[in-house]
Amino acid sequence: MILLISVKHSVNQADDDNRLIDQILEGQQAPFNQLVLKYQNYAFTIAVNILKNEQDAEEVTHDAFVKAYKNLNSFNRTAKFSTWLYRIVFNTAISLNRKTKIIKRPLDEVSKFIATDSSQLEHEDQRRYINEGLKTLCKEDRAVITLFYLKENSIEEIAEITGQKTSTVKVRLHRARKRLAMALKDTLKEEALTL
Amino acid sequence: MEEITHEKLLDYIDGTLDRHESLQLEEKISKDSSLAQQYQELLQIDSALQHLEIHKPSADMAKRVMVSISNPGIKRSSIYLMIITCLTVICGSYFMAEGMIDLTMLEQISYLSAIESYLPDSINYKLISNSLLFVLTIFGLVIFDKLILRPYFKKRQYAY
Repeated sequence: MILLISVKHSVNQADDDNRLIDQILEGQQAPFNQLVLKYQNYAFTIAVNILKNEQDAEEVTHDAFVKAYKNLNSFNRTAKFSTWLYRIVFNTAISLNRKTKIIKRPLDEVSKFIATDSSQLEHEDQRRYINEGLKTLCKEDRAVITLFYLKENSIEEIAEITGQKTSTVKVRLHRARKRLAMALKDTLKEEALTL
Repeated sequence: MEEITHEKLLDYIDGTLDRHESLQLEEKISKDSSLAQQYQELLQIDSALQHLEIHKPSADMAKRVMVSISNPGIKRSSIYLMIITCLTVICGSYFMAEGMIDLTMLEQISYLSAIESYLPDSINYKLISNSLLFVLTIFGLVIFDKLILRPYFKKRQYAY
């Protein structure tokens, strides 16, 4: 039942988006504002999680929306508008990321951010530790994790957004979570030794 | 006995295993404390990731996007037009200053000499040439303002 409601909601959303896109392609600009307001948070979050920098993410999100508007007539509607948009965000962020030198921190640093027992953590702390932990992963893994958990995109949709094979996405998703779990385990060991 | 990998446990957490495989795995987890611990660790990470922070862009993001769409910035064609106008003005000024070009050159062009016979002698060709160059310079400045300066500063105005 929940699945049916979810599918119906998704179809309605796609219909709404398509209606707005039709209006934009007819020459109206105002409906695009609605699309920006609807997707800006998720688009921005994807950019932030790839770039680890809010200022760059602002620029990427802005540019991605402008690119989406300019290329809207090439959106063939075989996928959801959000999938198409997130792909633009992903590609724009990755391009910018390549231009800037990235200083990678060792994975061991995850342990500094993940607390000993997540059940004991306050909700906000838990979120912060996970966000910090994610920053230590590579940008592709971070993007996959963000897309998977944030908007509940399917593996196939993530593959479409990132331009990777579904098998690669699955491996990245598993690997990222495994690394986070291992880091958590290390922390627990460290904590036990210091007691 | 098949070894249970992290991937298998994550597939179970994601709900992508079929019913039979799920039941088998649940049984193994209940019997193997080490496996149960691995499962708990991964479940903990999965649970924490469910609460990923949603970042919000600046409040005027939509406004800035709409401004950029309305003012697409400096077009390449505008730059070409500007360059051509500048070159025309510069070359015109140079040649006229050197006395190499003005409307009296019409006399030297044989098929235009017929036209010249219809023109009154009192016309100051030099003045007309200078005026045309002056108009062209003003035209160039207007183009520079409308096609280059205004889009540039409008874009900068909304850039953060």
